[in-house]
Amino acid sequence: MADPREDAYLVAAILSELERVLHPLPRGQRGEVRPEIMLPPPLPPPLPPASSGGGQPSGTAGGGVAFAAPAPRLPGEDVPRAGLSRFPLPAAAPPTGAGFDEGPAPQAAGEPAWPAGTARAGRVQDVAESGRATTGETPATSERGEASVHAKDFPGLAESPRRSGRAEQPGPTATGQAEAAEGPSSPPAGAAPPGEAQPASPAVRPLAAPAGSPPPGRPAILEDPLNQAPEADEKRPARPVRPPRLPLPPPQFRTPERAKALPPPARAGTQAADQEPAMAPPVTAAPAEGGALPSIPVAAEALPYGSQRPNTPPQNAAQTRSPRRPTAISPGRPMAGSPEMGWGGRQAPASAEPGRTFDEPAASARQDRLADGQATAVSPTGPSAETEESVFGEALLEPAETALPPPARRQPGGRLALRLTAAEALRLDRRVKGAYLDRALLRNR
Amino acid sequence: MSRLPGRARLARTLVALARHLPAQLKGLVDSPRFDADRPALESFADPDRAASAAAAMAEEEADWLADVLAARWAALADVVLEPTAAILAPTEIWLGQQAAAVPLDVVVEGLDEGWDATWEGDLSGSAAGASVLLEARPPEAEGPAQVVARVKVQGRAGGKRTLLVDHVRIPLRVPRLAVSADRRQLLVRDQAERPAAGVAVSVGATVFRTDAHGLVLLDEPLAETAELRVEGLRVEAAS
Repeated sequence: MADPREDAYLVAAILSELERVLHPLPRGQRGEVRPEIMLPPPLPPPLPPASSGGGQPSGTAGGGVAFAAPAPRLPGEDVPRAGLSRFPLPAAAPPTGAGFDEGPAPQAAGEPAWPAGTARAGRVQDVAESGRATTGETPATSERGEASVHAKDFPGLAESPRRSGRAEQPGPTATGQAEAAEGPSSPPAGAAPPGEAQPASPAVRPLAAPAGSPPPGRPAILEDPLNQAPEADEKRPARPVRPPRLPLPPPQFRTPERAKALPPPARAGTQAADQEPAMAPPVTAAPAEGGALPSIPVAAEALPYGSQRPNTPPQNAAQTRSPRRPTAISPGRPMAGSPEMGWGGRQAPASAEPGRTFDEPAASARQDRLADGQATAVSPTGPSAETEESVFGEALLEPAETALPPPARRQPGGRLALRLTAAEALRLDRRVKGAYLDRALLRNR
Repeated sequence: MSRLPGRARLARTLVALARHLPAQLKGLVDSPRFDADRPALESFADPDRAASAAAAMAEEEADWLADVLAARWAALADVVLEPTAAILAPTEIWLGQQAAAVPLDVVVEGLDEGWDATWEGDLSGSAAGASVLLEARPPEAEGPAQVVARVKVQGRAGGKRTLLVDHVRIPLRVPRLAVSADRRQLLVRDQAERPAAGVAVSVGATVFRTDAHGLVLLDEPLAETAELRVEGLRVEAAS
């Protein structure tokens, strides 16, 4: 048993240790624990819309964010200076302080604090003088030089969001920036060496992949050249850049008036059809009774069963509509709905040839290609042939320009041999029935 | 402000700490960090050990240590002290040739009003109440002598009946004074030849305090006709 007197002091030591564990701060430095509402820091003001590059008048280290006012474009200046200039030119845009009133005032360690009410223009002037002292040129010239380099080398990126983001980041000190800005001929960090050919813009880069590029099926990676180191650019071969996806054109309804003005639509499925494999097995359709075969608009694409058609965006909203009453066009006869028929309905366009007959030689030639598996969507009547849906739509709206199918080849049993998919066959069956109904109505009249 | 004496306060604080602190800081005191020191704390759950620890100290030291423990405990948790009854009595009684009556008081803390105290021992007069008189007679034989007083306090603490007990043993000392040959040193002892440390020695109108050995050094030689008193008791100087 230890000495009780020592044990009494040991208890005092235990209490001291417990106090140190629970309250690490000395007693003199402890304060009252008072709950306070922590307000989030104020968000920076929204970015100016035209600011996309350059920097900010961060003349000191560790300063806040200050947004430069977009300087007006100078006459004769080939580079858009919007957002690229940190400081406005003294002659063109004297620093008025507009646009510099946002964000805290940057202040370096050791510098006296900006007195309250000091104009921002004075601060800009100080920063400019700092840059001049280092580089020996006016700060405005230095700024313009840097801006020119950026814009010349990467015109497509001049307005990119990434550059806009860089413009809002706190930049280096004024001295460092002035040292970095060497003039119009010095490329910025990440730019390719002067000897290399630079593409005009990432958006218009050639599609031809250079040697060592990934295979065509591999998606290319669009990289920002500003993020690449110069040495990395020299060593690494240029990667092919996938062309940007063009937005789909607005839907254009192909009216007769527009058909006259517009050139014939381009053939979209030619190349794809040329690469198509073997043809699908033929689908036979029952011949009409009485031996009279109606002429049926047939899709000219030959695809195997289950194959996927090329994803062709619809160019006409009306073309995608499913015709409720198909138009029957017989070779050698006036088309239904034409003025010659005397039946009301749609008026044929002026460019169309009313009562045009089917071109037998062309039809037979196409029939041969169908049989050989080389069928394309090329219409025997002209270059307006499109995909299946579009062909049907054209046949409904503009019979004169519609790619008409060749006459069905008569098989030895009086059967028609058409190479169609299952959906096409079903659609064809409905059309045949509708055509018979139309003809019956015409006869009755 | 407590009226308890320092030793009583220290003993009371030690007992309360041993009984309540582990429960207040459960998990912290039980951590392995305090494995070496925890037995010392738990040992003071016994009031006798706490009293012995307090008795090993001087009154001032015990009073200071009691204050330190109370302050540190208050920084950690609520200080929970138990009801206590203590006898206010002198640490020793210096006697001359005649008997003396020494007043004794009992201090009670932590009990509701209406408690009763019962005394036992070498008392003179009534044995009830908060204050009694202790009768001290000069020892008949050479050797240590002491008087004893014991008190029992009955009351209620938090609605519970509580019995508090305290006792004191007060040594009786008869002073003996010796003068050196040059009459510049005075040595004070009791009847048991124990040195009288810290006692007041009056030489005429001048008062001196003996050291730990009961020695007093004079600047001038003691006069032959000087009156000597120890703790107010007239003594004869012996060479």
